Amino acid sequence: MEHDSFIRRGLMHFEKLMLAAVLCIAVSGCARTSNDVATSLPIHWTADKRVVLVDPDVELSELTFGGVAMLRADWTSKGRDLIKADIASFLRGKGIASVSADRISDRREAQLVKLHNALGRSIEVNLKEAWPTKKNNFDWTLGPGAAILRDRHHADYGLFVFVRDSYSSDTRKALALLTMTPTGAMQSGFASLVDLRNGRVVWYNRLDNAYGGLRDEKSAAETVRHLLDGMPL
Amino acid sequence: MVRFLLVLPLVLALSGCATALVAPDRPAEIGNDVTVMPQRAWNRITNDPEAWTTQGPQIDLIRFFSGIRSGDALLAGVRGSRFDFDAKMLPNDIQDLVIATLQLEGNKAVRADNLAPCPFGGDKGFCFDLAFVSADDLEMKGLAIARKHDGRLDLFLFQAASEYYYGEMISDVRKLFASAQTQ
Amino acid sequence: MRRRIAAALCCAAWLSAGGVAQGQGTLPPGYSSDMSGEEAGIWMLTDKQEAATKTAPNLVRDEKLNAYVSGVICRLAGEYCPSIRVYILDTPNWNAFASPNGMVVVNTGLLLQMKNEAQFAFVLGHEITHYLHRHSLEELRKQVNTAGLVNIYALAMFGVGVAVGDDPSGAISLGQDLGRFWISAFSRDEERDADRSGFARVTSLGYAPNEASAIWTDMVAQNKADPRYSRIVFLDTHPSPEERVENNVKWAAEALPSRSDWVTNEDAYHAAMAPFLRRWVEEELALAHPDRSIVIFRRLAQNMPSQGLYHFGLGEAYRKRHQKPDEASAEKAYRAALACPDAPPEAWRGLGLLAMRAGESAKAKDAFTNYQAKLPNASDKAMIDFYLSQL
Repeated sequence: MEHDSFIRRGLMHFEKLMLAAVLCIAVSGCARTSNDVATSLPIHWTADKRVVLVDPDVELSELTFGGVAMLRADWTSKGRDLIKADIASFLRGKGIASVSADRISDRREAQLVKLHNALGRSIEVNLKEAWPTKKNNFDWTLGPGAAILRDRHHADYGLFVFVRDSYSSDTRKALALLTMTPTGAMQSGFASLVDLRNGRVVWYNRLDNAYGGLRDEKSAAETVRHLLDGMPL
Repeated sequence: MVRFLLVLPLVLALSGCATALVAPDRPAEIGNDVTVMPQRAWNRITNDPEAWTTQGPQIDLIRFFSGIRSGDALLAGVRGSRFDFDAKMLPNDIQDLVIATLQLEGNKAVRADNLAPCPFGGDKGFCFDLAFVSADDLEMKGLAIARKHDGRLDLFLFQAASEYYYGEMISDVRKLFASAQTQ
Repeated sequence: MRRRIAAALCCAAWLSAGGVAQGQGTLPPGYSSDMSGEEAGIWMLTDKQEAATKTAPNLVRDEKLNAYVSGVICRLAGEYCPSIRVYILDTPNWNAFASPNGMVVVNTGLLLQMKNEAQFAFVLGHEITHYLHRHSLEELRKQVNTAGLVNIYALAMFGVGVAVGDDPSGAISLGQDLGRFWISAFSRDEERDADRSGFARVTSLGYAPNEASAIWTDMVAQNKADPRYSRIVFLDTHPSPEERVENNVKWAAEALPSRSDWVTNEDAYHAAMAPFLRRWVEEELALAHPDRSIVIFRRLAQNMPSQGLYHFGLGEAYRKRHQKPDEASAEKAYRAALACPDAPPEAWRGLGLLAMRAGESAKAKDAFTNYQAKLPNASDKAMIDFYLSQL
């Protein structure tokens, strides 16, 4: 029996990304990001340069001995805070203000976030192999309803972030060392930038990284760097 | 479990397998004996049933169920008489069938409305509106058009996210449905 | 077997590391988890789910209904009332659940089928007991101490859990909304504990003890009538509905003599639900499990107000079963509906559809004409006009 759609959706995403990451490890043991940028959309600002970080969906888990992920509330809370802080300072460095929209409480906004998640899944499929109408045509939109987010948060652009990160428990690491197998700990996620005036996805970046790093400031900064790699702001 | 059979075509779609272009303004063949004229370009993501999408099946989707026989369900591998078409069915019954089928796929709060006669490929068909919430909690709207033809059911089913996509696409979809011609 | 299924079903399994505290007691009032500890992870996930519930498309926002439902639950929760937040979800699946962070979800499908406030209280009393006794954590700790076992997040949520048994293919529809059923991986003892303690709690508030067994008697009847019902293996953790009938009858016999002013609050319950019944009846019918709907509506039509509505529902369920022997029962039910002051005009439409399928043109014509007279601006007017043109 399934859990609520929210958790299930998050996991489906996680599982797929994990699979991609595992394949990646098997082949070359890599950290890789892949990028797609809308080809014809310059960045422009109507008002002050401001980005809203929309409900960052971050979960940090511990990969326990049995190989399954247990959500760690303390790590998650810290990891989420670090991501938000790093993104904010990254943007500040470019002269862009940011605001965080946590805990969407409006039904319509919630629908926009869900629509974005669905778009994200389609974008990922198309990153592997584009559908005919999307070949060389990075054209994805939330529609003009995104202006609700713009008006509410006074931001021209919205940044959506999704991260699933897992860390091996000590016992698992020990086992891995003994058997020379990968611990399986990994990091996966995506970031996307949406022009809130018209809903168009301006930039999308998928992150697959087997090295993890959101429990301390240094590695969090590196994760965010990977995540925002190529963002056209 | 039956559910996963139904999810399979969507999964295939998500993996981007074997997707073909449906070009606009060119007649497209549906099943054995119907053609339609699309107003815009679509991606054909599965052949059986024929299914098209522009942004992905969780966002927008048209499915063409052709020549469904008495005793068969709309979707392959589905068991249970309440999902089966019967040639004696009235439009109200077929509406119920679609509701049950959408629920089987994981949608909730499925409602149908505005059942009315609608021309379908030269036959007297019928159509109705739909509203539901997808398994991913996306609010969706839909339009179904159907006819009984030689004792079999032809049913075209369009669904799209209420947020932006249904409104943006419905006019084209109505034209598509209206363009159906029986060969 | 249970664990295999649990593992297959779960979205994130959990094997807790060592250092588990022993002796888990009852929740102190005002309890909320701190960030360290194994409970925190569950709490965080359920918080996320609560945030999603708040913006769910099918959240029922009606103030009066929420006030009534919350009021009953608050009384049940006693001193824990301030820690509890109640949400009503518009979904026909018979279910209610309580999560460790104090969120309680009630499905409208449950509200439709309860006969009175007492029955509703017994169902919720069971759920709240799980919450208060922190059964999920007990279970977690038990399993943690056994190597290699996998626990599941389903433990974090406590569902009444009979709904899955309702209808195996309906089980598919169960997994779909935030009112969905959570598999309880509790032991049978914990379920019995929740039944027993819940019963005690509810009767201590004065609710009539006999109403508890009636809930499960009704469920047994539904399951019997449903050819698709089978006791799905993960339900092994719940006592069977039959056993629950037996237990509740026994406990009621013990409790009954202790006072003479037992209440069911039937009137208050009906008054609270009345504005929504029409919609909930349609949603029950849309589940497309007429075998169960027939049992439900037959029972409701016998002993509830709004009889026109329930007879109509019964007629629809018989008609939608599409079996020749049901036609007479469907017609009888529609006509019984039409004899009531609250008869929905759609009962005429039902008669018309029945007659049309049976080839009885004059009868169909009469029924559709009556339907249109009663509801001249029906949304399916064009279709009915078409039917009439064919007769």
